[in-house]
Amino acid sequence: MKKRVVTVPAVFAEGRGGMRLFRKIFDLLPLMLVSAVSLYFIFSSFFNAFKTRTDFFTNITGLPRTWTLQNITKAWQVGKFGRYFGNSIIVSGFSTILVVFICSLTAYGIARFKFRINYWLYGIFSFGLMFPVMSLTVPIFLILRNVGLANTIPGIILVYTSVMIAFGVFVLTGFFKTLPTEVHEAARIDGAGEFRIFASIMMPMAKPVLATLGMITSINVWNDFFLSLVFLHDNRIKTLPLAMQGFFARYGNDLPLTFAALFITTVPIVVAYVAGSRQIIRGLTEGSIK
Amino acid sequence: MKKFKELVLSAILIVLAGSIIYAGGMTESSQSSKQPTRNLTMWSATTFGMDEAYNELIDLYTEQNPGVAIEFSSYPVENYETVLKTALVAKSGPDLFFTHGWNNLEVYVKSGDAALLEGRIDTGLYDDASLMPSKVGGKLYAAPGVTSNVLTVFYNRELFRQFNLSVPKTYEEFTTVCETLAANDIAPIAMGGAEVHSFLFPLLTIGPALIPDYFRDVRSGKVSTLMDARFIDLNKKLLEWAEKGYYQKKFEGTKFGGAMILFQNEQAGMLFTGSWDYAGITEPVPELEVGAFPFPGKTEPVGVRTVNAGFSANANSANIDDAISFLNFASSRESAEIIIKHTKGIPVLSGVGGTSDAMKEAIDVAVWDDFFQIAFNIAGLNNTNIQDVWMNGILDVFAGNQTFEDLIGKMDAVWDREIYQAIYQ
Amino acid sequence: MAVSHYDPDETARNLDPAEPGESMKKTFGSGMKPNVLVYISFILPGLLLYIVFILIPIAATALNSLTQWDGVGEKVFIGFDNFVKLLIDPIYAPQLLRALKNGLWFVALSFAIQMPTAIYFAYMIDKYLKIGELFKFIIFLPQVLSMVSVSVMALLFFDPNFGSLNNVLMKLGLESLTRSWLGAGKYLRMIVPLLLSWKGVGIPVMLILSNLKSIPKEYIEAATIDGANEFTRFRIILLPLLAPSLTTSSVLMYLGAIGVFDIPFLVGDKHGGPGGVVDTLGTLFYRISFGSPYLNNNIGLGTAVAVIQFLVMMVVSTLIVRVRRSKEMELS
Repeated sequence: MKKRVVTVPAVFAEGRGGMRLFRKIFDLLPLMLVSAVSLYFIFSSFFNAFKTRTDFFTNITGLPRTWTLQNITKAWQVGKFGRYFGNSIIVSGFSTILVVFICSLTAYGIARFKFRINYWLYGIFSFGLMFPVMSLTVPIFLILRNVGLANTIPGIILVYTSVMIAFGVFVLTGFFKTLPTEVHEAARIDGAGEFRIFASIMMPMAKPVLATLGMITSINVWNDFFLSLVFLHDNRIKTLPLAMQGFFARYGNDLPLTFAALFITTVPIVVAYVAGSRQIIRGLTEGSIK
Repeated sequence: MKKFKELVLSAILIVLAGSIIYAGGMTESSQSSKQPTRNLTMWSATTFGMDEAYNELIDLYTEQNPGVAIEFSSYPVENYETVLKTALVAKSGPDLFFTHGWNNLEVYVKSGDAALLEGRIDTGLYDDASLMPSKVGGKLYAAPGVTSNVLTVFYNRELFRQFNLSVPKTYEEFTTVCETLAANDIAPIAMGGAEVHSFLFPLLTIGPALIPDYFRDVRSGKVSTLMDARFIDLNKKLLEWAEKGYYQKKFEGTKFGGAMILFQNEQAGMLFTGSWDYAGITEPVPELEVGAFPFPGKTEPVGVRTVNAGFSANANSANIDDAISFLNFASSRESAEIIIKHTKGIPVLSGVGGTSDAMKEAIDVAVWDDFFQIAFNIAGLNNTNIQDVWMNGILDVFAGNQTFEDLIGKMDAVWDREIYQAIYQ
Repeated sequence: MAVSHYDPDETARNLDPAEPGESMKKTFGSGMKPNVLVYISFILPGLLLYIVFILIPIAATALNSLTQWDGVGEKVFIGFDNFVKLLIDPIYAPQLLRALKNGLWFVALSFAIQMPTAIYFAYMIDKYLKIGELFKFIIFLPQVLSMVSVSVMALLFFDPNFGSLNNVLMKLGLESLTRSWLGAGKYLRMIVPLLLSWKGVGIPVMLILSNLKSIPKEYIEAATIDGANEFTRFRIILLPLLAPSLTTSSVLMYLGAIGVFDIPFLVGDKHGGPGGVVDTLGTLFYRISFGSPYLNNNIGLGTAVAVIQFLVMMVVSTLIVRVRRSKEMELS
């Protein structure tokens, strides 16, 4: 095949000063455009939450002409979002901790012990990545009922943990196998037990990948709608996405109110992400080189 | 290392904070649950105004019966069946649950989930016709439905006044109304063309009015096919309206909710839907002057009305007696007053007040005909129903990928004619 | 000292459930003395949960697909009738075909959108580290929003009358470009994979980024001395080394798009949008299992759709990983 050579105009080649800035802008332009559209998509709905009804329908694209908190207060009152935040925090917090803890144990066992059965175990775990979870709800609910955990917070935490295990084992096994064996051998000669080695040598090395797994798990669990819909019945223990879906089903006929509910339920996540992202994203990429 | 510690620490802090909030919620509820000893749960699908009505009913009932507490949950319509079935099959379903009646109730009767209520609920106030959806095999398995559902044409009175229009008495007058509104840059009909059920409402509304003779023939067994010129022409009206510009511009991309908002915003003159949407239409815009007319038939207005079943009691409920006692309360005239107060809809019992003027107008008809709606709804051969086939294919007709003849041919193939004889003996 | 990077290549290779691959056989247990008790205490908690809440339900679901069952009543064993029905019945077979076709279209479009953008984003974020942080943040932001919020935003953004998109176009004087975005047609079929990509592109960007960072800088420096320009340098040297993260990304993209449920269901409806233009295996499963209140829903038939979805997912993702491995062998 003929080689296709794309030549970059000479002005864009690495130069000095102004030229370099020009080059930088040229490089980043598409990225900036995409980011701008993406941010507009999200923030235009946020601004709509602060418009009065007439303002909204006459001025859909712009900033609010008069800012009002009326929609927000009303949505907060009828949606009763307060208690659902607490439930969502508990469910996703505990699920994340459990997933990280259990998956690192299991993956470590699969990756670092010389047993033939590991070969099969790995295959069995990857099964769970491909079966549509939605079709499993009826049997899972039957099992939950039989162990007495139907319609409870611990029950849904166990379900989320189990659903994420396949992914966690899949990611962590790949990682643990890349760790060098020499450190391990040396530690054992020093007389350290398996759990000591795991806890004080292997886990610290796994920080970045554990942070990745933790973040993906917490986002998935926090945002999941379907499993909590089917498994949580008491209004007292329902999670935030359920409350949101219920609100939109009931108040979808009132657009400013809908935008207000969207604002209330989305902004805390965005703020949490802004606050946590510096650490999390660094954790995601940094460990890779050091 | 430091960062990792920070991460773990902040995670633990978040969990702790959450636990405190959660524990706070727990104590609050345990305080309120000191008094009641028997708990009931009650589930329904979300409809405008109904949730508030049920909550008021529950408050009133638990006030009169201090030993009982009822927790009510409503789910979005499209998720309701999923939640209910999963819970029932695991025998941890609610004590009281809403069904749509008819076939839908039959499923829960067959599975043994809906308790037999025959003789345990006082239905003296209700006539046989309104109890039909609550019965399976001639026996009562659900409380009587309290509100009637009427298919109707909502219209904006102010716009009608502005353009000197009156409620149409014939099909020709209806087209004149549409032409006038269109000529004045108001969309005549708000149509949610991106959701198939939006087309179902006008079809079911105009059917009994425009071709009553066809449905009479089907009912009497004289005609036993859908491939009838009259029925095909009826369907073609929907497309004809689109071609004449009776729907708003870009109706193909509007969701039903978007169509409702167009109507609320006075950008469209009419909206085809059912009486259950009255509260939803007027709630955000109480100043809107809404009327509703039954579609004009050849000689007189023909109405389409159905009744849903009320709630059913779970046969496996630990507190079945309380559940049935609540259903008795919910079937009373007093309860009907409360429900109509919230929905402003149409009561099944005569003499119950609170109905909005628009809904009173909607039921001012000469003839009621629900045959088409029921016939279109129920299961056909091979466990497929013709309404589903219609909804699956109607937009292909609009896109020009198939003709109405093709579509109705497919429906005809799964149409179970014998079911009607069973219903209308 | 210790190299502690997460190797996406290893992960990709191991995705193959049928044959974990040479490297797996070698590395399973890197020379540790087997101690059964310790081993079991490592494995057990995860395995137990997985068996109870995933494997047993999968087995139950597979059995359900061989029955006629409305979800609450009696189950009737009917063998493979459900599968036969899905393949030849005049009502269901076209729906299954449509769902598969749409799924493949979503996969194709997500690939076409996400692959180039993810590579470009990752490369530029890596190149301009400081400002890259900001872009990384923005690119990953949609990932933290829930599907429910994204779908509400999308519905209001694309509404023909009240949506921002048509209104912005009108303000710019481009009225001729306004469309019925959510109608039965090509636009909705593009909006769904676009939303999918917008929400999902953060993951491949992260994977490629960590892959990029693990490539020794000497390789690139050597090429710079040779005088190759930036694009050639990227294409000849970096791209082949990105193969591991690209494979993982493609598998994840495929699994995420082929049977996607949330977006077609929330932006469209249970019918897979108007005219079924965005009907997928996910919405088909839901419609048959729980869809219609007036029908005897058929969970048996619905789970048969889920089993087909499983097969489709497994076969193709295994294939992707195999192709990648055979190429690797060619090279070595």
